Amino acid sequence: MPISTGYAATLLTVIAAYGIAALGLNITMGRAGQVNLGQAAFVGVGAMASAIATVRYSLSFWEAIIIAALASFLAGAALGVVSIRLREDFLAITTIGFNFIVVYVFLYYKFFGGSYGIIGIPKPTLLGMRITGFAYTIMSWTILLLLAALALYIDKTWLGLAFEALRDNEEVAESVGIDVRKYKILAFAIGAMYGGVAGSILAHFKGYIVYSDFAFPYSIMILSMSIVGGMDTIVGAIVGSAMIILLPEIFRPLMEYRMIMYTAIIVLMLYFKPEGLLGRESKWLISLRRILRAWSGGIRGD
Amino acid sequence: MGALVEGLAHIISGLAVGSIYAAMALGLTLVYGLLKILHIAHAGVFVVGAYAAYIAYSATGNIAIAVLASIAATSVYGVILAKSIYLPLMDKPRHIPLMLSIAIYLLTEEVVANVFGHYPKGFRFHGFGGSLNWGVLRIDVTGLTAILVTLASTLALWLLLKRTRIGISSQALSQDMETAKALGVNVPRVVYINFALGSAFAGIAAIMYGLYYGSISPYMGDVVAYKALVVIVLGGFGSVMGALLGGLILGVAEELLTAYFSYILPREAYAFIVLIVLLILRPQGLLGRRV
Amino acid sequence: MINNIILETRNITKYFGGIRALNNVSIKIRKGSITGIIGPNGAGKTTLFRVIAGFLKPTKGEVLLESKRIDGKPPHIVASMGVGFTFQVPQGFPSLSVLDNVIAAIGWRFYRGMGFIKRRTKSDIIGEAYKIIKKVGLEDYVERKAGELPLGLQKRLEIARALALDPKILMLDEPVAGMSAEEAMELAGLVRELNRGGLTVMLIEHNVPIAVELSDYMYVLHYGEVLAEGKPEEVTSDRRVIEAYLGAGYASG
Repeated sequence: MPISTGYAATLLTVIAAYGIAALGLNITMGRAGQVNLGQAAFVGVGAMASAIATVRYSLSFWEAIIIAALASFLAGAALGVVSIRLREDFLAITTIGFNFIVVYVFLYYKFFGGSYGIIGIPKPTLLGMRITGFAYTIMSWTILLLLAALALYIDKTWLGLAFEALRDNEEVAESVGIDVRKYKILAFAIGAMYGGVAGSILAHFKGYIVYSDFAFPYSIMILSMSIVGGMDTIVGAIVGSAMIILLPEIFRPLMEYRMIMYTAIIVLMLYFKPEGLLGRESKWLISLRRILRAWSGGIRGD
Repeated sequence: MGALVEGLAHIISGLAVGSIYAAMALGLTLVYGLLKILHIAHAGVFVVGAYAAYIAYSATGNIAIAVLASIAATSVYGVILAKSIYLPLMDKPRHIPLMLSIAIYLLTEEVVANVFGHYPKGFRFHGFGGSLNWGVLRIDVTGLTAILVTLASTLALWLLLKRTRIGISSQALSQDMETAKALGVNVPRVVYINFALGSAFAGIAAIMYGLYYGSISPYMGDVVAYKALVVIVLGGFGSVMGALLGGLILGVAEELLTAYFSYILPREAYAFIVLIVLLILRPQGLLGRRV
Repeated sequence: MINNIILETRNITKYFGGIRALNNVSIKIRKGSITGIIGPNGAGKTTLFRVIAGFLKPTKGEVLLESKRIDGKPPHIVASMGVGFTFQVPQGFPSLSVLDNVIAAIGWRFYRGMGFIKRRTKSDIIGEAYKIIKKVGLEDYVERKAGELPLGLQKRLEIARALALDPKILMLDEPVAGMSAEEAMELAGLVRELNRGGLTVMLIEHNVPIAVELSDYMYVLHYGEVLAEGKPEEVTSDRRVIEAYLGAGYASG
């Protein structure tokens, strides 16, 4: 089957964008253990910030994506502040509610485009050239890789350790001097920032956005990416995004039943393989590593 | 005088809607009391109950059969959920069964939508409905039935929990699972019975909802599920009488707020705001005791 | 004399709803001592512990660490001020290695403010972590996941985490509970060794013989009140204590 480059570029860009969003979820949930079932809201905050900055205030894409990251970081921090007071299960519900509130606000306020959305979101330019088509795909993947590198770096920092301590046992974390509130807020803020950058990429790629692009089902979609790939690895988020985006493209009949697909995948994975296909504890990842090591060893000839 | 009657009418319809919330919340509160898990999939059970009643009534035209079909379908579905997800995953981190529960709810909704269509279906029992006129006051029969059915069945449930062996076992279990096990309580059996009972209430709530609003849809669980959560927070977790009171209070408060302040916020927003404020100020629930 | 007191509680009272768990509890812990707190189940030992650690706010009363008030401060601040403590049931960070468990507890001293963006594996931290791990005898298990260790070793890891805070006082909540006699003896040895090194220890114990053997000074809690205090031999021969807590068996034995 011939695949047009435009079609491939679209799919790859969308995979990169949602890969970034899922990566953020992996930081908030996988690393720090803070349940977030409303990641699409942060994608929305980033997309709106980016769209408004460029369309209404004529800023460049590069300025807008930074604003998107900041706006979603702050929105995440706000949710983090609320999370401090909530027990785990009610936090989960509140994140869903947060998603609904954000969508309501987009719909009810003209500033955010209301029911028509915002159109005419410009493509980025670099050195006087418009970035479109495959160039945009390459840009998206570059941003994805940069953010993956950041996630990898966070793993190696004290922040990463504090996140893991928080996930394993909040009370013990407090008992050893870790300021649990600070790191909860950071976990939400950083994860949300990833969502915001993803939103910015999507907004400038499509050229228009509307409130319904960020509704709760999209949070479920991102969650299914994270869960299928594995919550605690970077490669898991990216592979998860690719799987969830590509499955309905390959099996067209699935298009009609995407919501069933996401939820069924979540149910089956949580039930049978909660660590994900490429989670840290997953045999697949371990054997993948072994193959890669053998392969790179072969190249070096030792 | 007219304002007074109008206010009374609002209170009565608030009580009717509130009793649907309460019936729905009873299932949640029973499960939360036992397993300390938010049983979001209860909203899926609710949808199943509505469609079971719809199918049974369409086929037979018999109200009793419709009610029984709904109760049977919800109880069975509830027990299946308990057996397949909640009990086997007791030892996992809490967010795993919780996310599963949410996903199962959404999955149920989507499957129902794909089998029976996404659009609402008219729902009424022939010869049932209308209104009682009492001077200037008109009372909707369906609403009144909802109130009475919920009151009666809550009372029955309350007696069951207080007076019978299975009720006492349930209470022991909700206090402390380990102690209950040591005392020889058959944990799975108690859990199944509670799920069956709680789910049956969802079936009843679904029928009352369908009759009250005149239609059912695959997504009817969305709002009611949220309201039921608010109710168990209002009523204190795991308390039957708390769920009843919480449901009625929420129903009346919503009705009055929308009647007199409708232009500020959409109806559905109040419950959510109440939920967040309550959770932040009183995490143990409004009528609950601090642990 | 007052300078000699490292930790003090003044008239701590704690209510849970209508239930009074602690009533006017005043204790003093001398620098360099091992002070035992004993009492039957439900006497309020763990409640007192959690009040001092900052997990619970006292309804009334004060907690002072080196004459500075610490009651009402959150646990991570209390910990960073020099109160290290272990939990009755070892919890820790089960998915992290023994080394990371200890580093997590050292970290706050090195990564204040925005310091969290620095790498966690600075060599001075690793060095200190290894020293602590060696002190509690876990050097053969550095890379093992905490959750996979047997109970006895998990209890040692609890102590390692508390030591990593460089504490002024170490509070142990029933450190030998659930251990075999042999493991308990080893752990008692470790506690004594740490104390000889200059560390003040507050020991909450259900196991009276161990507490008597280790402590320089003891408090007996009963129904949330201090029933008796003194040297271990004084306390164990106190009539009220024998009647209320130790029971006839101990008195005759």
